[in-house]
Amino acid sequence: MAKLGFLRGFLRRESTTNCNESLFRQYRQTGDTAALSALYDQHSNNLYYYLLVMSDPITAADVTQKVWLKIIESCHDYQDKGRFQAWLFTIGHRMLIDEFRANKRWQADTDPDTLGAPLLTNIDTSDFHQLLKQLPFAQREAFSLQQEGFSLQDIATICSVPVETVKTRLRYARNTLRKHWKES
Amino acid sequence: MNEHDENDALKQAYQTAKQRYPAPGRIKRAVTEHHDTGSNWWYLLVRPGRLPGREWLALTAALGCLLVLLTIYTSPVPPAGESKFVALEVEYHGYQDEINDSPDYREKLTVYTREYTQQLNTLNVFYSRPAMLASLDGDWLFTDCQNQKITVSHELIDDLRALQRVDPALMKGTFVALSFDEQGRLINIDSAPAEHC
Repeated sequence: MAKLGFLRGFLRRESTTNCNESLFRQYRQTGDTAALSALYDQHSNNLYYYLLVMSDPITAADVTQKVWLKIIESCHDYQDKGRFQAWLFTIGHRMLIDEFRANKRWQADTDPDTLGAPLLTNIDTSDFHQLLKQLPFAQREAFSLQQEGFSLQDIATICSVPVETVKTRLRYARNTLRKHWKES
Repeated sequence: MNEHDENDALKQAYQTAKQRYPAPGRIKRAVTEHHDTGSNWWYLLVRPGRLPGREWLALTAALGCLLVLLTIYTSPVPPAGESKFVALEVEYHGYQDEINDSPDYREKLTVYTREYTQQLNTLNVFYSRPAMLASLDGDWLFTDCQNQKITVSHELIDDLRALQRVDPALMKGTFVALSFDEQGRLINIDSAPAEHC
């Protein structure tokens, strides 16, 4: 039964991926606004939420917009062998880091090379969003990307770290969330 | 609750939280506006059917002339002394303290100081070189049109990226234009059409 569920999930993911790829191919070949709009509708909330979890509403909105403008400008550089969603989030990750560095907001907690410790002070632990935001940057990012459907290898590529590092970050993140999250 | 159930519960909580924070509508408006106002000029060029025949011919001729003029006036001048590096197989760009670790074989080392990033805004592009991004795990590896390897240290890439001097859309296999200053120091990495090689 569990295997069947996994298979269904896998097939659903594959068909969504193929749909993304063909939509993006269509957009790249024709410049069709409808294709761009469909791609945007499919991915923008996911990308925005990932960026929101990693930053604040203003930065998240700003970077989301910049990422889509970059997609429009660079669509001819896109490699067919890659996955559109992974490319989108890779650009999002890099632009966010660039934004932090440009604004001198690159602190120990936002340094993806540091494992860090959760803050967990004076927060409502039944609010999952607030709890998630208390995780250290690297753990928060690995966890969010996994929830967006990325594999360990995808996350490693997006964050430019080894797969083993991703596994460690995910383990720490899940342990903290399991320990502190109270379902209301 | 076992671990599997707990993971499902976390997944569910994440998706529920995401629904509470949708992307602001103004972003889509700005993106489609940007797309509709000029950024899709490319499609006018790749789809000749959108232009009448005579205009298309005139546009092609004008672009041809422009290309010839650009080729004449902007053909890259190799920096002085580059000829002695022609036989080298590998180039390495990185900071002084990183270069000590680089493999000791036939290579051209370009040494960077930490002050270099502060000067970046005043440095001018002296020549540009097409290449392909072969790897971005740790140090970035490029292969140029003569199949020479160009390694750029991870730290240098980080600093260039912080100053928005690396196109964030680059992926493995993307063709790029590497821009150098008069001293052969890398100052910009941008995507470029494959046909430049």
